[in-house]
Amino acid sequence: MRNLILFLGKYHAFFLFLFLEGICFYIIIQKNWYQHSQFVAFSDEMTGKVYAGSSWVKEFFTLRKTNENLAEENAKMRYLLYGSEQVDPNIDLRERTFRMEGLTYTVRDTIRTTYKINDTLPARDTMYVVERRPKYDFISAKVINTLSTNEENNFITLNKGKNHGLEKNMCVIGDKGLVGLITQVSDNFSLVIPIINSQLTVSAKNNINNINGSIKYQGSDTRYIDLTEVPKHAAPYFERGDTIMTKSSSLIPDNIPIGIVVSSQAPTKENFAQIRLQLLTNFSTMKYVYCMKNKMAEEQHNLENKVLQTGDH
Amino acid sequence: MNSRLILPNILRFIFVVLIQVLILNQLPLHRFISPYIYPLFILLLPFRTPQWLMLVLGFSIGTIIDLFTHTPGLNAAATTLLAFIRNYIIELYSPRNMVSNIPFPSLQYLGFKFFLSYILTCIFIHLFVLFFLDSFGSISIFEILLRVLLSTLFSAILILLYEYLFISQKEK
Repeated sequence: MRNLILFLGKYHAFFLFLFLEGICFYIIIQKNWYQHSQFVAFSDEMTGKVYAGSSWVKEFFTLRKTNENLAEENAKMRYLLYGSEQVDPNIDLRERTFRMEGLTYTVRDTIRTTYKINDTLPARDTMYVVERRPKYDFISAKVINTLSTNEENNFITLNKGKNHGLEKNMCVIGDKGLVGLITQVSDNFSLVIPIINSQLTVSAKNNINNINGSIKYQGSDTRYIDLTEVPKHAAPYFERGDTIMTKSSSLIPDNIPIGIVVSSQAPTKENFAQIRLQLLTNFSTMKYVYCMKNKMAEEQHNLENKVLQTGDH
Repeated sequence: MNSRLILPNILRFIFVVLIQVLILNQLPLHRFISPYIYPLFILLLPFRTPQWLMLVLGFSIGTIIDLFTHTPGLNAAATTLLAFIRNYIIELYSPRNMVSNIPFPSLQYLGFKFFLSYILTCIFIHLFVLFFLDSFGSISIFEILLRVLLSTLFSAILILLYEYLFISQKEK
């Protein structure tokens, strides 16, 4: 017994070393199994506060630029809000296209309109009452940190969380286009998995001819992203300058601009076209984002779950 | 003697962590180049630090970096190993009796050649373990080695810069 204690005493550093490394490896393996969600939830509140402090300092240096962006964005919002006010019975308001700054925005589905004919008026002077019912609430949030563990796996920390109404799987957009999805939420912070993370794949389509593909980040340059899964024969339909938008899925709404086609090739050896997009969102300077809260998500999920539960329909 | 070395080390701990997470981790560099300065804290600990304390400090600083980069366990594992092998690497390079006369391994005490080989060896081992655990076999060994070599060079330059700034302050 005495010898054992002496032995442990002599090599205590080595045993401590083994013990600490054991803890580390345990944590690393845990990470692979549970996608380190527990670890992240525990540390987000703490590290979030430090990042919030540093972001507060950085803001002073970028105030001017941020103001310009906000003003520009306000103008765009006003345009969308008031610019569409003229009610023309010949135009279906459910699908309208705006052209601004060389980009085409289509407002579809997000504004539901119903026409009511006021029957006290003569038919010729029919009055159309437009009821607007937006499907999404927009919650603005500030980017307080952009992390990259290695170049392919980026994450973004926002300064709002559960207390401000953010939830997991909400879609996040920037002032110009799609940013990503919320993946972790703590009380006052949330973590976004952006489209410049190779783990995220988003369905996309060409704005002009609706040909589908999916975007996937290949981890080289955060200004560009690749459009994959487009059949080789469809490559000529993607011309330089075409806008790529999201295709509606259970989490991501329709028609959020993602990027603009830079090049499109049909390599002889492969089955899919190689299409490269320039992202509309500038991830290195992005300061403010908007989280889209789908007001009808619950209704949609309930309906979809019914199909899943019964198995057949 | 000992108490005079404690405060600078606490300050250095905070300083290198902040530089690492707020500046170096945010730099938009090439994916093969990721500079690391925080191992400097372990490299500059005094010689008379008990080994158990050195291990605990290595584990702590690694864990704090992990909290910021969302890489649980990775930096902690690499830094604990670094804390364990540090003294052996110094012994490997140092002439006899040299180490007992100086308080801690820094550029001004060890001289340029000794110090450079010391930090290059330590950072290389640290980054190799770090990147190897990070990839977990998903990247080829050559790509890891290239990443380690380039990052080691950049980290060493940063550490030398830090040391030169520090010496010039002391001489004033």
